[in-house]
Amino acid sequence: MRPSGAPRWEGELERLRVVLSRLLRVGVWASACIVAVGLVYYLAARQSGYPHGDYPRSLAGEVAGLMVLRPYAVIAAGLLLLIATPIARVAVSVAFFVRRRDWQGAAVTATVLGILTVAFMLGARLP
Amino acid sequence: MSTVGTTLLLLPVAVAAGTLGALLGLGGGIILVPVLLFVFHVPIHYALGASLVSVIATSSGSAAAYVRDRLSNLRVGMFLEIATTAGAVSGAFLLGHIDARVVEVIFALALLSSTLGLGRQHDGEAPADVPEHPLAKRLRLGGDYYDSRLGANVSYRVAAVPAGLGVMYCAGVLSGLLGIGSGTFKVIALDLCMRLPFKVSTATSNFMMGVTAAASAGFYYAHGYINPGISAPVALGVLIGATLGTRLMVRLRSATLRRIFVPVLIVAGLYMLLQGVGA
Repeated sequence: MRPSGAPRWEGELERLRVVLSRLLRVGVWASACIVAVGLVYYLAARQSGYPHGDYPRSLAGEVAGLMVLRPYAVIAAGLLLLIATPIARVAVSVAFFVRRRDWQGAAVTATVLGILTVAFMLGARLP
Repeated sequence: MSTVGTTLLLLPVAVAAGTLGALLGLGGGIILVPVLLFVFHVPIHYALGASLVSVIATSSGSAAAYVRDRLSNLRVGMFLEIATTAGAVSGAFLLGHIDARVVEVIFALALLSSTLGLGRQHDGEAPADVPEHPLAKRLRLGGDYYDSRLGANVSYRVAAVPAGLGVMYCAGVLSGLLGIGSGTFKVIALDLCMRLPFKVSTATSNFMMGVTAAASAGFYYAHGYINPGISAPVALGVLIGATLGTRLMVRLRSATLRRIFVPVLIVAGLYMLLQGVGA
């Protein structure tokens, strides 16, 4: 199935493909499970643990809600893990390219990671 | 707005939307947003937030399968993510500044245009005589993939990198502004501008989608657009539906489905357009 005679750099990327595939699968599965557990908990408790229309919107609020196991905080934890999954994919790629001394690949993926970081820092501040 | 009852009811609806989305080759989110707006009366920003989360779930789930086979071009995807993430940040910024009705109109137009692009026919062959862009050569963007239908390895070159970056930036803006994956527009950049083989284009677009959506997710989260009571059943339902849809795809004729549901989507898009315009 695997074609032979692939270009050298594609051969190097094979390892990365396997790592990223595993990371994405685990990330989606884990976050889906947490969201599902939170959802069942919310439906069973029949209340979100927050005043109507309120829920965590910051990491600090999230951690605080999770400590006292509020249903919406559990759901939001799963959603945050889901959002973190593609970001982790980029971070792992940066590390991969740096280790292989592929500076071009490292520069490209580090730029993307930089934009993501700025996006999250700006996210709370933008009107 | 987000009571226990609504949450319970949203789950099966999202499963249906996810199944249909996978069968039609559209995202579940873009189908679900009109339903959230007009059936559940969810304010548009919360509908878009829920859609965005479902995009991350489904695209990461399917990318997990796609990255393994060599259809998705990692170098092209990672390079163009610079443009899509930058676009997504701009789109999210725009969302905070324009009227909800205008957002509705743009969403309706995006829905209508992706509906029109459905069912484009493609042969398995890579385009021939593609002039390789100098930047593509420097970044080693070209590649090859195993075409199961031809039973051979097909190598390809990459053209028009600046144009591709431009269209990708726009796709990113739409993704951030509308909470969608904007796969249709990503495929346009890869397939029509950069002349990648169609199968490689769809797989690479899918690979990029999660990262693009994550770029605007920070904004959506901090602004409270990701409401757990709405986003959770939507993300979970669409994910389940998409998995079901991919399984069913083998057994169902997508052409028949398209004939049934494309008119429905067009009507939904037109209705949304009229609502947004205020008619």
